Amino acid sequence: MTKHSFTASYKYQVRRIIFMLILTLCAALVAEIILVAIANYGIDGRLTLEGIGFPCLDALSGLMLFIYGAYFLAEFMNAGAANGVSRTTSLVSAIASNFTVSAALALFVSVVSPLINSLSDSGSDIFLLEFIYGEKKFFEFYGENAFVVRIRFFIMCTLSVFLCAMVGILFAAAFYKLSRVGTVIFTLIIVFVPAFGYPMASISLAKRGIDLDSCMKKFFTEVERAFGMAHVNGSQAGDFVRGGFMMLLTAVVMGFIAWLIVRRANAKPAAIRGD
Amino acid sequence: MKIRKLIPIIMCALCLTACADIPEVRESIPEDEQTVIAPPENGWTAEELAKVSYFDGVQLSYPITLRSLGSAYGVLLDFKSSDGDTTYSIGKDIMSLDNYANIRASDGAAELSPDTEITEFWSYSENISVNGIKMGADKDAVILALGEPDSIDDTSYDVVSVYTYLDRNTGRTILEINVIKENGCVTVISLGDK
Repeated sequence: MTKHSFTASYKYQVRRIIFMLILTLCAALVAEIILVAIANYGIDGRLTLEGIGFPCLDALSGLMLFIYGAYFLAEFMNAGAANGVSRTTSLVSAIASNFTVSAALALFVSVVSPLINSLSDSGSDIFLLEFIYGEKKFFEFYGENAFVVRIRFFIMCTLSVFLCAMVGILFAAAFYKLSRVGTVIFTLIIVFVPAFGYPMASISLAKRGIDLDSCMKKFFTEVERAFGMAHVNGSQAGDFVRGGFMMLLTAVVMGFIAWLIVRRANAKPAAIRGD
Repeated sequence: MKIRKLIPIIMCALCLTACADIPEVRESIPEDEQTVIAPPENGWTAEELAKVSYFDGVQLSYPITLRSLGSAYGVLLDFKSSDGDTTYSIGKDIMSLDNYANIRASDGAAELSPDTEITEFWSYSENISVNGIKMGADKDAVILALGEPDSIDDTSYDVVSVYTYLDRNTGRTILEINVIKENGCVTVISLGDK
């Protein structure tokens, strides 16, 4: 992995993702504006933007980067291969570019979300992360600097969105290694095991006296505790250091697994234009 | 790694670390382990009453402040009345009424702070108990647990009688209990020092 190949891949990838992100975010915002205007017109016959709000923009961002992390990886690998860039370089630069885009997206969320929400009657400014790690006003109530609180949420938003992107990259890496048949089987497993397999396993284990639901509940409580979520310890304030560290650690582990998968995959032919 | 490359990492770590003086979570005490004492013969003081009062299982202390309730509770809503008084709804979760109460802060406080003395503290559910008395208790049980009230107001409201207990030292109202006239059941418990 040379510095030049990494930089070139990184720049290309950031440009590709950012373009799609801007497109998606603009579409989402315009859709929100149109829907609110139509709803208001339907209610009282006036075309206004009263009640407009985008309270969970951080969750939407995470979802978007999950999709883009998964969608773009194969393309980045192929584009890299076509230009003589190794798979490791392509993957590492994909991780780096996703982190950069996560930070940009978190900045967008931190600035735009409060602005849009201030247009609504309540002026509420609720991120999903505020539900998980405590509301900003709670920390300010106990005397924390408002700017530091916002910086903290910006960092957490960056890390959480990056984690979503890494989950996407991990999925994409698995798909990259698998054959066409393997991909279909893997997809079916992902879709059907949580939807049908778990309830069936729960029922069949319950007949044998094993309470799978309570085991899963305990497991998820421990996961939530590991991520420092507020409601687990009964406080209004979550543990940001623990949460941030765990998000970063999980993302790094996922990146490492993705790298192991990708480097052992069979080399795939680069996409040929017009083919 | 150069020192200047470490600076953003250190800054992020500092920002993630909560610098505010956020109190610990106060332990919720099960109902059968809560302190219940015989009512003092010559009446209660605010301190004595606080020691046998619980909100959502959390033992209160005098003066009642949001900090003394611990970090499990935050201000969820506020309502400004026409006379300028603000009532705050506090609780763990805006979706749950089980741990929900209303408060008014001490007179003259421009804005509620963690250490502002709460002068009125009441709830419309069973989460406040005073010496074992909760919403739904019988009026005879109230007198047995808390002693004879300093006054009973039967005339101000059509539906309820208001039992008022005064601090034996200061003469200020420290407890008001609304009892439904028809069935003699407690409907609202309002603690405070006003």
